[in-house]
Amino acid sequence: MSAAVIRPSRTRLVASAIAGILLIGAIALIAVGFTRDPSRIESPLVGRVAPEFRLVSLAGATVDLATLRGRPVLLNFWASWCIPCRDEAPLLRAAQERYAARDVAFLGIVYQDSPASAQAFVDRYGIAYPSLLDPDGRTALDYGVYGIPETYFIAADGTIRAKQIGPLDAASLERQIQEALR
Amino acid sequence: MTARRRAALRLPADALLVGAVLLVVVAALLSALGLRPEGADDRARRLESELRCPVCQGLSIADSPATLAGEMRSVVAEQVAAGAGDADIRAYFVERYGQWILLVPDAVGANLLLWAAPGLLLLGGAAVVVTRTRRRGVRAPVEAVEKVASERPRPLALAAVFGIVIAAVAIPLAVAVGPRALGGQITGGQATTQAAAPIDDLQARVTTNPTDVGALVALGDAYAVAGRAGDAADAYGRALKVEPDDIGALVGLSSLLLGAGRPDGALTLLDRAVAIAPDLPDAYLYRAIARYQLAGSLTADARADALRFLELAPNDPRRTLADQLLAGATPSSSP
Repeated sequence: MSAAVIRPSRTRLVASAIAGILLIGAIALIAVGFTRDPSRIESPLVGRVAPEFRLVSLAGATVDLATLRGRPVLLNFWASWCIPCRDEAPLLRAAQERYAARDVAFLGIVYQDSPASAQAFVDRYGIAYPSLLDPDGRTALDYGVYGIPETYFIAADGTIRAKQIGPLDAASLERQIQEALR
Repeated sequence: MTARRRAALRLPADALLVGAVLLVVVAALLSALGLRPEGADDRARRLESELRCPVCQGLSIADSPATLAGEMRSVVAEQVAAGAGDADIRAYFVERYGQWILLVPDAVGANLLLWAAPGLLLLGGAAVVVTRTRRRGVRAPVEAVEKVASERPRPLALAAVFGIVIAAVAIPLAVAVGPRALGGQITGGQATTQAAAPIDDLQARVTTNPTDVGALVALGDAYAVAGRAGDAADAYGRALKVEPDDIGALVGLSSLLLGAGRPDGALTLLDRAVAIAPDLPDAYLYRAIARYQLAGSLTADARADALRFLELAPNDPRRTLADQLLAGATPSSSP
């Protein structure tokens, strides 16, 4: 009788130990999960060579990324309907002037927008660098764009050094351009 | 006496129950397997349902009304039509968006835990139930427990039921994963994608703003993908009225004209498209086809257009089309 009482208590001890460990593990997993933004998609492209593209700008000029090899490139995906892009536009414009001496090439890619609205946006914010049309969205797909504004910082050797998801501010713009210049 | 008789009758009753459950499992399996082979449309649809939409992140691109999902669906349809394998198509998106894009993650590395967890939990649960009921049988039960215990099914029957439940979960899971592992590559006819949700969404946008060229062109594209050529032509036509130089509408309309056997009309539009956007690969591909259809053979112009397309879009899945066009007349000099 006494053996029958002791045996279950030992197995119960082991079982509750296992259950406890599993529970702590699950809580730890959930705790880590809460510190992350689940809607954020980390790009597998950072550190890799930037996908090639050859697109026509609003002004009608053809821009081929390959011909910019040797210069750092800032590639900004935007649209006239994108509200944060409006705050970003003056920042990018100022940065372009500031980094002209460092030979940084600025490029915009118009995302899911009509050329007419995009042109109006360019005129309104005095954007001097080329804004490229991506009519079937394939270039955006190649870059894994999922919610504009998104900005890629490409080094002179053609590798993507950083990706900004969401609007840039003065500090994040400065830091990531410096990374591309390194 | 009556109790013993009842016990004797329990066995066939259990067998009946187990038999019925097995029958349901087999029927479910058969319907899940499906008896007809998977066509190109089914394949595109299945792949789309396994890719996560980056915009509406809880939805697959098959179900998402977002424009980006539409673009991704057309990539899937093109690659399926071009004969790319399931693994290639999945890899195309993983390369751009990471493993995140897969709604059905690959069973490798840490993901294995994810795949094994439901089975392990079920087994663990079954083990707990079996040991607990067995222990109850060994220990002298308290009166209150005894009453309840006598009404409970015996451990063996419980184990059998658990076994069936595990089989019911594990077998369809294996069926769902199996075909992908085997990588059945069936291609055929024009792949069309279900586009009802985006069409409704775009129609609403066009109704609220009839001069929204982007929405009109996207609507035309969605109609074209859904095989509604008349509606598609109407949408592109309206877009061109607002914005006569819209490249998307020009190219979309010309592809419809090509499909309708009117290469002359398509050629006019494509000449304009090329003049506006001299580096858009699609316009050259379609113009090559239009010129080929008009002349009935590969003229120098058509050949130049096909080569230009290949030069502009060397990695485009439709390059096989251009290759075929070029190979038809000049197999030796195709790039």
